Amino acid sequence: MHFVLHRARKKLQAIILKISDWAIFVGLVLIGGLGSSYYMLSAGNALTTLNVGPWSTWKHEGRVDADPYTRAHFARSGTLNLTTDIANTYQASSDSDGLRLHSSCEYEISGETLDARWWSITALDDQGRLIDNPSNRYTFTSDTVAISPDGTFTVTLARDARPGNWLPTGGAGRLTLAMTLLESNAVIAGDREAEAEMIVLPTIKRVACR
Amino acid sequence: MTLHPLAERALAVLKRLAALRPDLRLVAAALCAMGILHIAATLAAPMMMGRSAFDRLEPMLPVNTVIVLPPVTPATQPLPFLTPDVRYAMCRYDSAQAPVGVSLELPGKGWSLALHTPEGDNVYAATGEDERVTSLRLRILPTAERFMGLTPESLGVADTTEKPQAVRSDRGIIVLRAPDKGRAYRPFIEAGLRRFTCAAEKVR
Repeated sequence: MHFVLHRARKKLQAIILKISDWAIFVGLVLIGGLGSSYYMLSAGNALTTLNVGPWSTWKHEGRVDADPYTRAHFARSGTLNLTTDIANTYQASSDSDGLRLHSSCEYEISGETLDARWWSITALDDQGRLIDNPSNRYTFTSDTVAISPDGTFTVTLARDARPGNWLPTGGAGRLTLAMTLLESNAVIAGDREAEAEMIVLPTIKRVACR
Repeated sequence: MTLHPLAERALAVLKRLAALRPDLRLVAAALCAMGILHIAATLAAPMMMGRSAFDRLEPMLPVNTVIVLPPVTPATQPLPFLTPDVRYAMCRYDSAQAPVGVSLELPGKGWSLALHTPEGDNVYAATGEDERVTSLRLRILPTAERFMGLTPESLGVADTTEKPQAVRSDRGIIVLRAPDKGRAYRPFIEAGLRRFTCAAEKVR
């Protein structure tokens, strides 16, 4: 009787081991396959995105010949984007030191007049929603931003009013900045990718946090 | 030393993993399976990732009619990342039954026109020039190969439309973007947006 029980136990252990081997195999495949796909759709890599300081853009955004990662990224975000043939849309969710943008901090976005026919900078929350504020200020464009005599500009991102180009952040929590360059001299399309990588974009400096 | 039951279990799993002999066939099979799953998930993502921009805008845009959107605010923002730096006029076109005629002007820099397919591809785009009004007339033809009437030339009418652009979709959204330069320019901007027409043409 003991011998039969022992054999049955051994058999059961062997089956459990086999099942656990397969479970590990399937688990690794699921984590590796789905995880790598999710990462590529969210963050992209050097083939699909271009990073300039804290700013990043998808190289084939809105294009008919866009790669599957870009296509899936924008299907997921539900946005309507201009083709990179005429515009580049950059986003920043961290400052120039790599720290997450947050409405509890104050930031200075500064740079020289951008090399584009027309440009804009907009403050949004991390879901791409505009931040409600009593001043109804959400964006600055090359037409509306106050530029210094030396050709530079500074936009202040802060909860409370600031002199100059102030964009209110309210209590939005995590922030995202969107910058559109229309007909920039550094369009990403085609064989001009190397030129696009040389573009100088504004820096985002954390001034203070509460 | 006694370990926490959870730590003991984790240790047992780690020991089990360490005991696995690296079977190269199994590793290769796992890598292949990961690759297949990665490709399948990436290709299926656009179909499985909820509502696209077209799906979100479709209910608010009557077919072949121009709608000038109010200035984008937190209360009126129809899509994420649709920024208020520009004013928008949109037309949801459907050329399955008849060609769609589009006419508009791009009166200066910052103005742009874009044709988006339901998949989000920007199949045609044009931008305004400095100090120059660019007039655009487009004709979106059905992709199905069927007789849609005589061409304007064969009817003895001068065809002023631009050279035909091959658009791979019978449906889509045409977006006219006008830079919002501030309150003083609003009447000028809105007049420009209202000159945008988009309508199904009669087949003769």
